[in-house]
Amino acid sequence: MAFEGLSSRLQEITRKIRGKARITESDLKEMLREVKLALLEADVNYKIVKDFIETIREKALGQDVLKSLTPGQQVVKIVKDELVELLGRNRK
Amino acid sequence: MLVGLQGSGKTTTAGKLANLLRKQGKNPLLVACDIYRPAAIKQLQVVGKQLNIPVYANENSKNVVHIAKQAMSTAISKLNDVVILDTAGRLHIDEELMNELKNLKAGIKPHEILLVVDSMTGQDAVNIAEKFNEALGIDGVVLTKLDGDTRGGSALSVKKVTGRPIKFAATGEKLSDLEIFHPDRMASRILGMGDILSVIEKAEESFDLEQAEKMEKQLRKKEFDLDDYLSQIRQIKKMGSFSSILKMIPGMNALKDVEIDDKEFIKIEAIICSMTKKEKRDTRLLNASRRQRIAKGSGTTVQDINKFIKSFEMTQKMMKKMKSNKGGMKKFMKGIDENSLKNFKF
Ligand SMILES: Nc1nc2c(ncn2[C@@H]2O[C@H](COP(=O)(O)OP(=O)(O)OP(=O)(O)O)[C@@H](O)[C@H]2O)c(=O)[nH]1
Ligand SMILES: [Mg+2]
Repeated sequence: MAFEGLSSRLQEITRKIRGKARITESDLKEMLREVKLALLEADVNYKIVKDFIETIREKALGQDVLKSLTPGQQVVKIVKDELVELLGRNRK
Repeated sequence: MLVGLQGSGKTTTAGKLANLLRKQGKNPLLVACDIYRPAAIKQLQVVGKQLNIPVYANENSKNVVHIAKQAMSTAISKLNDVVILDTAGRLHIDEELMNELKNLKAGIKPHEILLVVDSMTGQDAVNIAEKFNEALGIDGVVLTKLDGDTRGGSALSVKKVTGRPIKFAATGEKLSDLEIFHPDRMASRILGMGDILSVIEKAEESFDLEQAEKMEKQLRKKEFDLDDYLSQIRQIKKMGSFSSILKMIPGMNALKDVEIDDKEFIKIEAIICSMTKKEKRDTRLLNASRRQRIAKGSGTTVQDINKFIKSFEMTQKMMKKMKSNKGGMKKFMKGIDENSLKNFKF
């Protein structure tokens, strides 16, 4: 099945972060680094990966995710939203 | 109009699209504009024949614009409301062939130009898409071979690079293996949140609604018996290969080792058809000598029968539990969990 490698990497990354009660800035940094590697390994264009990571970072910091009650889940949601954006948000 | 590199899947996709459109009530015409590869026209004709969808071809012409125009007038006279052009595969560096596409575009003004991209192409997909878009101005992308072990890079890059949406995803060689592409669901699939919606959609599309309702009523009324089982198997067969459907269900990663052989369905059909009416209604009747008779009649072994009956009785129990559920098919699909899926193996 397609995306197997990427999928299992991202699932592992999100599982790790989802369960965290608190996320520090370095947790976020570490996660973004892993996501970046996973995408590059999946052969996603480098420039696209860079933008992708940057957007997630900005959103996570901008929404004060780190101080929120469910930081892990919020970060995962941001990742998911950006992934949808990348694949092309549904036109109605 | 379908364009793309050699072997990306244009011809197959043309057939799949025609099939999908017909399901939506359209009356498509396939047109062979690949005049370079000797077998190309034949290939499209075979596809058309399989689907029972008309194919326009003109073996004597070497002018694709001319062929396409002829096809358009044929479509008008035959009342085809969608015309799908299959073009020759080409490399984006091949200027002559790219010009041919430009001429085609200018000549017939297609409503939509879809770029067919093999999702296994990886990084290069970005360049391909960019070049085709620059030269032609594409309207959307069809990603093919998503059933393979593509790493996915192209799928995740192509939209951003071209600004054009991925419109369809092809997930197999069969002519029913084409889905409308849903970014949200694909993202969920990648992140392991399953893709249950696609399964439901596929099921609803192929599921005979009336049949389903009838079955639901029956299920409420009485115990699930082998006749019901048989009609269910036949419905599932209509949806395509069972294994391909399974792959879209969340939790399927855990099921990787469960081999589902679509051939088993044929065996099961034979077994059920070799039973008497009474036996189908009540499997408790099946003593050793009856089982022997059924094995003979269906060309299977008594072990096959034993295994199948055991798995059926588990299914029966599961159905009993679901009987009280309201909401029909959707609920049914949602109600399938890993364990009940394992019951399908016998
Ligand atoms: N597994 C898989 N195979 C596919 C899919 N789509 C097409 N193929 C296979 O890919 C091969 C090439 O497909 P074609 O449809 O002939 O490709 P094409 O773009 O028309 O090729 P040219 O006309 O030579 O440029 C065939 O063997 C198809 O069966 C898909 O979604 N999944
Ligand atoms: Mg072809």
